[in-house]
Formats: sequence, C-alpha cells, structure tokens
Amino acid sequence: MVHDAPAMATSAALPPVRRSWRPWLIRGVSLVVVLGTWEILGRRLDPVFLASPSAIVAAAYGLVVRSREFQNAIIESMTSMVTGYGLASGVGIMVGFSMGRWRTVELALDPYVTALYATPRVALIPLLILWFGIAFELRVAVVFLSSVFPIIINTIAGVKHVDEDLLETARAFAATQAQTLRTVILPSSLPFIFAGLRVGLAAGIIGVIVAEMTAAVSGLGALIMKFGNLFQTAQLFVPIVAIALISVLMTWAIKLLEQVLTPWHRPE
Amino acid sequence: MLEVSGIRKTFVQGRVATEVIRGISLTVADGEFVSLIGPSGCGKTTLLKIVAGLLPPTAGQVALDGKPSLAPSRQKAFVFQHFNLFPWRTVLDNAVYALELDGVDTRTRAERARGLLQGVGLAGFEQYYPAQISGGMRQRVGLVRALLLNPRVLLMDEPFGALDALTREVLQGELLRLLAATPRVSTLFVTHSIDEAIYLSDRILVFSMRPASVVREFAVPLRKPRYEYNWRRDPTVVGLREEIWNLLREAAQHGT
Repeated sequence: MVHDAPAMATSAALPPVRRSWRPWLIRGVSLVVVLGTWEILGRRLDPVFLASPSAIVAAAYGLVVRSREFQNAIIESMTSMVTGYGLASGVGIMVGFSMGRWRTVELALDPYVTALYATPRVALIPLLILWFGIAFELRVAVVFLSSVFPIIINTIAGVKHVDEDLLETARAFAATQAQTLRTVILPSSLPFIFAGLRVGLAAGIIGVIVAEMTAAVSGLGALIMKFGNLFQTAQLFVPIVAIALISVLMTWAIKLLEQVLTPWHRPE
Repeated sequence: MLEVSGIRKTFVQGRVATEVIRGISLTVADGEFVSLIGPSGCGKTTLLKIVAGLLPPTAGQVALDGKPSLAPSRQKAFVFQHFNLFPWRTVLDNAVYALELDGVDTRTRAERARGLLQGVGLAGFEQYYPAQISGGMRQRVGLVRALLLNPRVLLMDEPFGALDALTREVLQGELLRLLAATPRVSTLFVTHSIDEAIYLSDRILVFSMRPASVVREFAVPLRKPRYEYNWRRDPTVVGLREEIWNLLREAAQHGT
C-alpha cells in the first residue's frame, strides 16, 4: 500500500504484512490428515451413515454435470439469496443511518427492530408462506428478514460511534449537514456497516436454506431434504458443500469490497 | 481585524450554573499574533471555541472586519490540540478538506496544497494515512489544512501541547515562517507555555482563574524574525517571563 517509504515514516507506519508459505503448508497438512482419516473411516462404515470424500466427489460430478435439477437448485438459491440480501443491505443501511442520526426515527422504529431481532426469524416462515407462497418470493422475504436486522443494528452503532471531535472539526470548517454526512459520518461508520453486512450474510444464507427445507419445493435446501429422505448420503453432501462454497465466496466478496472501501482500516 | 467584545459564558447543567467567562474583550489586528495564557481550566479554550463559532456565548459579540461572525466560517481556521485529522483521509485529502468543501476540483486542490506541504516537509507523504505518520507530521497537516483556506483568522488551541519538546520547538519555527508568508491573518493562540507565548506573540493576554477575565496584557518587544537569533538570551525575555509567571501563580492561588 505504501510506496517508496522514506525512512522517517517507518517508526509510525503499520507493520508490513509478511507473506510466507508456512501457513499454507500447515493448512495443507491439516487438510490431508482430516480428509484422509475421513476417507478411511467412510470406506469402512455403512455408506448411508457416512459417505467418503471420494464418494462425495463422484456424486458431485454426477450431479453438477448431468443433473439439471442441481443446476437449477443452485441458480434458484443464489438468485433469491442475492435479491434478498441486496434488498436487506440497501434498506438496512438506510434505516440504520436514519435511526442513528435522528432520535425521532430511532424512538419510532426501535420497538419493532428490537422485537424482530430478538425473534428467531425462521419462526415466521409459516406465516410468510401464507403471505408469499412457497417459491421465490418466500425465499427473498426470509433472506431479507434474516439479514436486515444485523445490518440495521450495526449501522446504528457505527453512526453513533462517530468521534465527537471529528464532528466538531467538520463544524469548525463550516461543513453543511450533507457534507458532514458524506465526509465524516459515512466513512466513520463504514467498518461497522461491513461488520453488519458480514453477520447479515451468514444469517441470510441460513434463512434461504431453512426456507427451502421448510417449503421443500426447490433450491439447495429442498435437495438436502430430498437426498436425506432417500438415504442418498453421498449426494446429500453435495448441496451442503455447495452452500459452504457459496457462503465462503460471498464472504470473500464482502471482505474484498471492505478492503477497497476502507483502505485506512486494517483489522487484526 | 478580529474584534471580540463583552463575551460572557455560563454553562448550565440541570440546576447548576457555572460561570466560565466573565466579560472578555480583545482585538487582533491584521497580521497580529495574540496569545492567551492562563491556569488550566480557566476558559481559554471555551473563548477560542466561541470565536470559532463552535459554542454560542451567553452574551457578547464576535466581529470580523466589522461584520458579526458568531457562526463557523471558512474565514476562521481552527488548529486543534489533538490534530483532529480524519483517519480515513490521506495526508493530501486531509490538507485540502476545506477546499473540497468549497467545491474546488481535485486537480486544483492538489496543486494548491503542493507548495505548503513541501514547505513543512510533507512532500512524498501525500498518500500516507494519519496513522502512518508521527505526531509532529500530523500537526503539520493540521496547520496546512488551516492555512490552505487563506483564512482571515487563525485559531490555535494548544496546537503543540501534545508534542514532545523538540518537535514543539521545530513546529513553532515553522509556524512563524508560514505566518510570515501570510501577512493578513490574525492569530489567536491558546497555550500553557510562557516561553511559547513569548517566542510567538506580538501580545500576550494573561487570564485569571475561572470565571475568566483578562488580568493583564503584555506586548512582546522582541525583534522579528525571531527564529533567526537566540531570543531566549534577550534581557527583556527574562523580565517578561518572571512577570507572567508571578501573575499566573497568583491567579492559580486565587482560584483555589
């Protein structure tokens, strides 16, 4: 990040990130040991009880390449996830900002946010089925409700956490309300907003899978239920691994976005 | 010219009223440097914030070139004790903050900042974040941020109080050089340090304990530019230092 650093800045500069092969070696060895043990155990046990990694890979190959059903399931889960989470991010940040900034808005909305945040959102699924049916709209609604509250609550915390001295600085330079919002409050709360986005993402993924398992018509959650009911253990693992991969990819994407948008803020 | 007249300030918290400033009037002419010195907690910073428009006075008026000026304005630049740089802005973006608020475009901003940043030894550090540079460098950015505005008034609240003795002395010299290049600016400078006040000021106002009023005013007769000779050896400094010190000691005892 820092180029041609002159000598006098180094004492106060953040330490450089050390790139080394050692962590990768440890991770690699760990993976080989765990997957190896799993493979050996899996081959000795009843395949209904536990499928071996090689059996799962074979099942995955069959499903991913040949099964329309699996491809559709991934697309359906992903589209509802992205739609619901996208909506939740937009609404959550805006509502959180307003609640953090204006006391009246906070007092008016706080009871609902607190009550709904405390309620496990999956408990609302039967009601949501009555309202939205069992297809796309239901999944979007569940993802939205799962993600939006952590985003709201973290955004509020971020907006309230703004350093009073920096607000005073903006005031001393005669910044307008809008300028203060853009140059102080927004950048200051970004790290909090991203914390909310990460928690909201995890909650949203749980939401979409539970919705699909409950309504059990389509998506990766429905596939999990189907393979479970059919005792096809190797196949059962495929949607689970797919969910884990999607989850990891989306978390990385958020992390990347955070690094781009908050270059001054380096956690750890 | 900056005119401060009849400023009073009483803070009310619940049923307790604390009188902090009891009638202060002062003027700072164009190009003049006036220091406010007094026991800690006496209300110097409160007065400075009232002049900046950050606090409303209970009574009194602040005028700039004859016009009332009780609100914040980019004609009055503030330098803070704890620098108050925005951690998410680079050195350059912090320095040009006020220009950005004025709607000056990115290229013009960078061009206008270049000379001043170079003048305080920050060339090459434009893309650093405040967390990556030393305290002295941060306050240099604070100085550039204030002076880039071409302000009429420079308000400084113990700007070097958080720095080590050596850095402080270097920055005092840099401040005098920068101000020599901006002849119209009126400076109001809050400090705890008698030597700092003597070195930098044309006039020094000694404040009483809370509620603050001006106990006495001193003119500093030292020849300028003061960074070109050893002003500490000047015989007038010794007398001045002792007089101010006695006043401050008396003020502090009165208060307790």
